Amino acid sequence: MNKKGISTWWIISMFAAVAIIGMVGSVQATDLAHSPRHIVLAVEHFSPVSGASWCGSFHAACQWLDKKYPWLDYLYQENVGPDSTIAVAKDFIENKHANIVISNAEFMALPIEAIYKKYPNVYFMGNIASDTETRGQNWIRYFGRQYQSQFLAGIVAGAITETNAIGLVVSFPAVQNVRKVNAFTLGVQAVNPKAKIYLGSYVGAWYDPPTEKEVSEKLISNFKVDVLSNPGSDSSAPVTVAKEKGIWFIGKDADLTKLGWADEDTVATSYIWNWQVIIDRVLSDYMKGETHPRNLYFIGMEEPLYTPDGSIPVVDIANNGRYGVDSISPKARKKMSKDEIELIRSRREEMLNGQWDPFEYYELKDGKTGKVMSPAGEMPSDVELLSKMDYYIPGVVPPK
Amino acid sequence: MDWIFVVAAIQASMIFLFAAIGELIDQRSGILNVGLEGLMLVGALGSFVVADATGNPWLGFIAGIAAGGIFGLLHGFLSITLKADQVVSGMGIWIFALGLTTYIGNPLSGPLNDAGKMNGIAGGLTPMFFIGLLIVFAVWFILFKTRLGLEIRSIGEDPYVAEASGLNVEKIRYLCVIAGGALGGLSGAYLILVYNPIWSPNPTMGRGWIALAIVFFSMGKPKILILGAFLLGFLWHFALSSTEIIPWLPALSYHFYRMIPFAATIIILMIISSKRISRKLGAARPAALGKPYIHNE
Repeated sequence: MNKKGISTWWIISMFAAVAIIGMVGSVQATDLAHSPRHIVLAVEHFSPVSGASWCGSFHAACQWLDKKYPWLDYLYQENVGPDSTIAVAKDFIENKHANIVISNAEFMALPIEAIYKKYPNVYFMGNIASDTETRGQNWIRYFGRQYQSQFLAGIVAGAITETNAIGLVVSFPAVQNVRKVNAFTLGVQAVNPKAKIYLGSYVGAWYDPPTEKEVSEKLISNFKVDVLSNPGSDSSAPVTVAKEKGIWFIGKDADLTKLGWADEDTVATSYIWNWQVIIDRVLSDYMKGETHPRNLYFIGMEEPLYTPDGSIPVVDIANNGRYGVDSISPKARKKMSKDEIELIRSRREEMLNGQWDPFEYYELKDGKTGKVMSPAGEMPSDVELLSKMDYYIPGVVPPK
Repeated sequence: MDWIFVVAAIQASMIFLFAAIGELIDQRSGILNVGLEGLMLVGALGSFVVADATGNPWLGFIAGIAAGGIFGLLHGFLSITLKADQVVSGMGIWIFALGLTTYIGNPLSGPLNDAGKMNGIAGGLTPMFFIGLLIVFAVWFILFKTRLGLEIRSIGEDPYVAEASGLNVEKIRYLCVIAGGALGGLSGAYLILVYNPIWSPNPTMGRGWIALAIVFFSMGKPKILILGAFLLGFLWHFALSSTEIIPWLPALSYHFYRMIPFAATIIILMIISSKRISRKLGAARPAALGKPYIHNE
C-alpha cells in the first residue's frame, strides 16, 4: 500500500471513530436525559442567592426539591448576566450533565433562544418579565400570579398605615412592576381608600442595595410613608431602612423574618414565592420523557403542589414560618379590625379555590387618563397582565 | 428638605471625605494613587467581615483601616520600591480589589449583623462624623504646622532636594501611602458600617473616583477638600429629590442628576489638567506628583 493509500485509510478511520463516538455520546445523552435515577437541575441566578430575596427564594425552592428527591442534584451559578447566560448553560450541560437549565430573570434568560434547539434532550426554563412569545419545544417560560399575594399584603399595609402614605421601592416602570404595584394598591384601597402609594424614584436596577437604600429614605423623608415595601427590587436595603427608621415593612419574595433580615416588629407580613410548585411540574414532565412539555406557565394560588404535609401554593403571605392571616405580626394585628383580617382570610381562601382574582373583581382604570382599561367582573387576559399593563391605577403616585 | 435628607447627605459626604483626605496625604508626598476605589473596597469588605462576625463596629473599623493600609502599602511597594508607573499600579490596585472583594464577598451578600452596625448618637449622626472632622483637622495641622508636614510637602515638591537635605524620601513616602491607604479603608468601612450596612458586589459604586476628583479640586488644601466633599455629598443626594427641593427643575430621571457629580469630576480634572490652569495652580500641586523617585538620577 502506498503512502497516499495509508493516509486515505487514516482519514476514513478517523471519520468512523468520530461517528461512533458521536453515536455513543448521543445514546448516553438520551439515556441520561430520561433516566429516572439521576436528574441534574442547574440554575443560573442573576444575583447572589444570599442577601437577595428573588434569587434567595428560588435557591430555597431548589434546595427543597433537592432534599425531597434523592435522585435530584441541584447545581447553581450566581451573578449570571446576559453576556454569560449561554456560556454558563453550555458548561452546565456539557461538563456537568445538566438535564434542566433555569435562568431566573428574563433579561438574562432570553439568550437561551439561540441554543435550546441544539440540546433537544435538555429542558430550558426562563422567567417571564413581559415577553411571552419567546419559547419553544424544550424552551419553557414561566411565572406565577404573585399579584394575588401582593393584593393580600396590600390589605395589611392599608390597615396599619397611620399617615395614609405607603412607599414602594421599584426598579423600573416595567409591566411586571406595574402589575405588582397595582395589585398591592387594590389591596390597600380595599380597606383604606384614602391611602396613597408613593414610588419616589425608580432605582434603575433589580439589585442595587445602595440606591434601594437611598430611595427608601427618600420615601420616608419626602412623603412621610410609614409602611414600606419593595415589590420591584431585591436587596435587604429597604427592610434595613424600615427597621432603622422604626416604620412597618411588607416583605417581598421570601419570608424575611425567617431569613433573619428583621423581626416581626418591623415586618408585618411578606408576600412570598414557592417556586418549587412550578419546577416540580417541569420535573414531572421530564421524568415522563415528554418531548413536548408544557412550555408556558402563569399559575396562581389555585394550582398548588400537593405534598404529604399539605398543599403549597405558588405564592402566599408568610411570616416566621406562618401562612395566611396567621402570618400577620402580632403587633400589626393589633392595629387591624376583625373585618380586615376576615377579608384577608376569605380572599385568600377564594383565591386558593380559584374562585376570585383581584384583577377580575375590580375595575382597572388608568390613573393618568381616567380611562377604564378593564371593567369590573372581566378578567384581563394573561397576555394583557404579563405584557401590556403599562398604567398605574388611581391612588399610585409615580415618580415625576 | 428635612433632617433625614441632611443626615443622608452628610453621611454620603463623609464617605468622600475619609477617602479624599487619605489621598491628599499620598499626593502631598508625591504619590498618586488612582486605586482609591480599590482601597475603599477592601476596607469595606474587611470591616463587614469583622463587624458581622464580632458584632462590634469598632473592631470592624479597625479591620477596614488595616485592610486599606495593607493595600496602601502594596501600592507603595509598586510605586516607591519598584518605581512602577503610579497610574498603572493604581489601576492595578483597583482592579485587583474589585475582583478580590467580589470573589470573597459573594457568599456574604446580605445585611450586616445588627450589632455590627454603628448607630447614630446625635440626630442620626454617628461618632464617625465627629471623628472625621477631627481627622481632617489633624491632617491639616500635621501637614502645615509640624516639621513632619513640611518634610512630606518638600518631598512632594522635589524629592532630590529633600534627600540632599537629609530626608529619607522612601521612608516618608511609605508612611504616607500607608496612612492614605488606611483612610481609604476607613472610608469603605464607613460606607458599610454606617451608610449602608449591606454587603453587595462593588458597594462603592465609583465613589472613589469622585473622592479622587475632590483631592484635585482641593489643590491639596484640607479646608477646600472638606467643602468639596460636602458639596458632592449633597449633590449625590440632591439627585434623588431634585424636583422636591427645587420645584422648577425639569422632572428628569434622578439618574440624570446623579450624573452631575461624575460629570463635575471630568470637568474638574480637565480644568486642573489644562496647561494654563495647572501653571496658575502650580504652587498648590506637588511638583513631583506621580513621578517615581530614583536615587542615582
